[in-house]
Amino acid sequence: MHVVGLNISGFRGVHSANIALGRHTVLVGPNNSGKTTIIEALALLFGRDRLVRRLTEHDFHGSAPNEAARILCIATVTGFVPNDPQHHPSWFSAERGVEKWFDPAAKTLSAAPGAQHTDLAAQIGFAARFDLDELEAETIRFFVDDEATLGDPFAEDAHLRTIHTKVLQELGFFLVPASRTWDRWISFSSELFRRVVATRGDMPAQAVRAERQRLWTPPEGTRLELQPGLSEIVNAANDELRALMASAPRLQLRLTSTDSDSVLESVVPHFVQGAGPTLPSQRQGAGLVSLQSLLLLMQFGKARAETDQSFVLAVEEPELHIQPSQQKRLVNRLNALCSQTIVTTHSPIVAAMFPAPDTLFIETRDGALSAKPLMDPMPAQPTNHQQHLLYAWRQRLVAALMHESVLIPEGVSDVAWLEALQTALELHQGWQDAGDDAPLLSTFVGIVPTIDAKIADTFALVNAVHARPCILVDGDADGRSYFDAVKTSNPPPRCVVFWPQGWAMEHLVSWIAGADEAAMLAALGAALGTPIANAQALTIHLLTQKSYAPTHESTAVILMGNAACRARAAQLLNALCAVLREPASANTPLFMRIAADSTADMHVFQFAPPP
Amino acid sequence: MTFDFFEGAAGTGKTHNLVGRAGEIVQEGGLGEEQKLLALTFMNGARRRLDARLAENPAFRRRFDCQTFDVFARTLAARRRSLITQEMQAQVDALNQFNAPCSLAASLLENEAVRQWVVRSFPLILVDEAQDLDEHRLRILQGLAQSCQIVAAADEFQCLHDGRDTAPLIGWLEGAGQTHRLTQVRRTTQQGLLAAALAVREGRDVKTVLAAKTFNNRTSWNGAGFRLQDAPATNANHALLAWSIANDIAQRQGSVVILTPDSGNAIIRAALATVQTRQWTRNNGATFGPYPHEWDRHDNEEADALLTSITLPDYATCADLRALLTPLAENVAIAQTLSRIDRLRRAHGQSEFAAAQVTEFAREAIRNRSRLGFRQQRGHLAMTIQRAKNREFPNVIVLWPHTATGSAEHQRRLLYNAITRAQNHCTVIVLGQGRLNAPPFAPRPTT
Repeated sequence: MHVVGLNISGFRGVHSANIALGRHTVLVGPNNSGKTTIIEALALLFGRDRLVRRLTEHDFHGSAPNEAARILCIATVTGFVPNDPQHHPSWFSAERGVEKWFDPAAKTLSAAPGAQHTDLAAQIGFAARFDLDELEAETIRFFVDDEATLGDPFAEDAHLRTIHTKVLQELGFFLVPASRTWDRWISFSSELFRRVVATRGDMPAQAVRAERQRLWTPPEGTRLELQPGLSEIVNAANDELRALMASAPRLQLRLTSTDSDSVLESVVPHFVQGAGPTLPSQRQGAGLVSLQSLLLLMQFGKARAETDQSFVLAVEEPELHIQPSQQKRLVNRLNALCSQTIVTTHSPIVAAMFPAPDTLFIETRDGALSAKPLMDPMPAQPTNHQQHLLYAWRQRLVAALMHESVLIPEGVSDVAWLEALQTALELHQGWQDAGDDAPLLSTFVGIVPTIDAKIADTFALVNAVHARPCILVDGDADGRSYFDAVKTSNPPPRCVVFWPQGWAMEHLVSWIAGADEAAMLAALGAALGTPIANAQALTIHLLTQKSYAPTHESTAVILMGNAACRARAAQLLNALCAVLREPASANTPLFMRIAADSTADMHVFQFAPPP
Repeated sequence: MTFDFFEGAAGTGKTHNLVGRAGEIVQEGGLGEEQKLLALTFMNGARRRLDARLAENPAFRRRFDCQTFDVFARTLAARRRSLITQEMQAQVDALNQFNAPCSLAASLLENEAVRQWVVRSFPLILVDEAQDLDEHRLRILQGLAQSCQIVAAADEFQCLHDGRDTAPLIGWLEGAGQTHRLTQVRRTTQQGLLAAALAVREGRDVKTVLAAKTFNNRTSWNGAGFRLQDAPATNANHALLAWSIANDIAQRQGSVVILTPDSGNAIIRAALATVQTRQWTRNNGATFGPYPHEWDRHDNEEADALLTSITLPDYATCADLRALLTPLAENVAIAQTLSRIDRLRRAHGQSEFAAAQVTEFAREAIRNRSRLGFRQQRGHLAMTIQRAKNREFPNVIVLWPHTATGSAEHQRRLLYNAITRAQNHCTVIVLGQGRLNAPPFAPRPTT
């Protein structure tokens, strides 16, 4: 079984969301984009009650719920084996839920099966309201009979059938949150551990009972209350008690509450490495502990898979504490073991391991959460460049898309120059730069690798998943034609930046060098092994080295080693950042608005070097 | 699917056999894990009594659910609403709020998937008093019968809907599966009572199976456990009627239930008011009476009585209503009304409540309470024959006024129903004189 769709309304920052989920889905997006909200909505629907009990005002959209405020999450579950409601009476009957039929291609539901609507599906709802008198949330988990006419689940005439935890357990949902306390995982205070023990083997009951007995009556000579130092205090207390109470209770000190539960609760995992000492897990490196714990999780998944039970795992940031080679193996193992995985990540490596249609870019604007697949459906014959982006450059593409704004430059060398300059500039940052002049471009703007002249292809791909794509083109006829090719897209690029008439990226580099021209020409001449007479000569030389990365890097390093050039570069990149982030309100002398080309949705600028 | 149909006169143990047969099916493994028997009735009172009957039978171990046809239909139509077509909806446009959901549910049950959905929870359906099913509720049963095991019971003669032709219904029930005919009346062994009921059922003159006895110029017809008499009664003078009632109660052991086809009849009301308070003295100085009794009221009457004691403002806030109604909250219906109002304030933000809404809440609370069976009654009772359906009492007095309406057949069915409620004794007192040679007591005189 797996979850194919999720609707959320009124939960946290999300006013409304409608998300289609694949078998192995990765959720990608900047911080605060709503990834965790999606994961926690799933936990409200399918998880244990613990999370549900924690709901507060802040979990309601807007944080100030009134009487009519509701959190409502609805999930669609398919993958019933066999695909016949007759075999699943715990889900589909007059006292349980109503069967629906899912069309896996169009991702729609129908009340009756049909040629397209082939997959048996159940819909589960979770609703919460906040009681302003009792100051706590009232929640309900129920079968959704008809989503379109559901209405308010708390209405008097709602006819809802609540869903039993036992039924939900058939899905086997498990959440690994980002705020994980790994060291407590292999202990009986961990629900997962208890569940694994319960499914894989029996409780070590005899050992626990023996330990409980030993703690209850410690051997003579080891009793704490009889030890010198303590015994006087204990005796004094006993004397007082004798005077106060007829039964003359005597104080004894015991480790744990001496019942089996507290024995289990106080178990703390330890690890031994080689011949080293036995160390509690919190003294171990985080990586070891997380790996060990995830292995445990896999045991659980394996146990369910072996008995044909489904296992749906939601993991936030599997990359935490784990080196890239392990990340890869881990994610592949999880995907292989689970009926469904839903992963959030900030790691392009992890994200790039999922198929493009299942890589969802999450963004929340004005409460509306959108989840757009990287490419859906995958075109039968993607262009060479798109293939390049989606396969060879997947990690770089995904990394760029994780930013607030995305910039598509005209070609490979533009990307190389921008990255080289940014990196060199950031390496020279001092503590004093954290203020207004701090370089912001790399934080807020992701640069998409683009093969020369393939702006339109790249833009089409980016525009489908990201709300703020921008393009950067040369100030020549070709640049103009690239602009013409994308300006009629729907939506058009949010921001378009032209270099000045006749300029390319290399002119910009020369312009930066111009901040301390004589010194820079000499230094660059020496470094590049060819004397450079003037700025124009530098530009011409750089244009001959367009695809030679060492030139970009050494030039950038030399320029950014110079304070005046650094100031000029920072001024340029920050102005560019400002224009790309807020094109409608950007106000910088370095970029001039071209009113004739701009529209309400598309803001066109040209770089204007100060005289 | 098996279909067991029990047919028999009043008191032949239809319900007993019905529940017994269902119990056998359950013990033979007719219910799977988490499945239940669904018992469907026409009215809430019957539902409540059936619920108690099923709870007594260990075969079910609480694995049953009693619902009225209306509640079952309403829930089914609401939950499977996504399958309701425009045609189905058009069919019910002219129907009232009770029949429309029944018709929709019946249409939905024509869909195999819906039937299977019901069967997965309720593979076994029990229907008592099936003679009361109208066309919509019968269609529900016919739908269910295609997929569920059914046990049903009916007595055509106990259908109290004037003018309804029950022949097609009974014909279908008899043809749907195995019919079990019950002939032995088990409610009573009083021969006079049995003979009188049979005579009414067969349209014969009741007096012919009884012995006439004249005392003080007044004639009554008697048999073991049965007495038929008339009493002159007018609006101006109901003293003799009151005396006759009290005198009869005085001769019975235990509580007496007074049944009438017309509870609004003024003479009956006045006579019973006298019985409530008056004491009579016999020639030998012995006294009898007064006999306090309560009307077993219809929910609406109870609600009206409750609501006349409250003056509601046109619109009021929750706090106002709490202040006004809390002193009356000893009444469970009022307490429920208050908590419902509070819930609407807290969960839906409703700040003002119209008097009509509050009134409706109180009515529903009373209906629900009787639905759940919380009402308590002891001592002597008075009620309409309709309300007494399907119930049994040790002693019954039937008051038969001029105002009993309906065809001769309908009146005979009413009288039969009233007489057959008695386990031990029944007295029929006919208001006015010279009416005993006409229906429902005798065939229409041939002229």
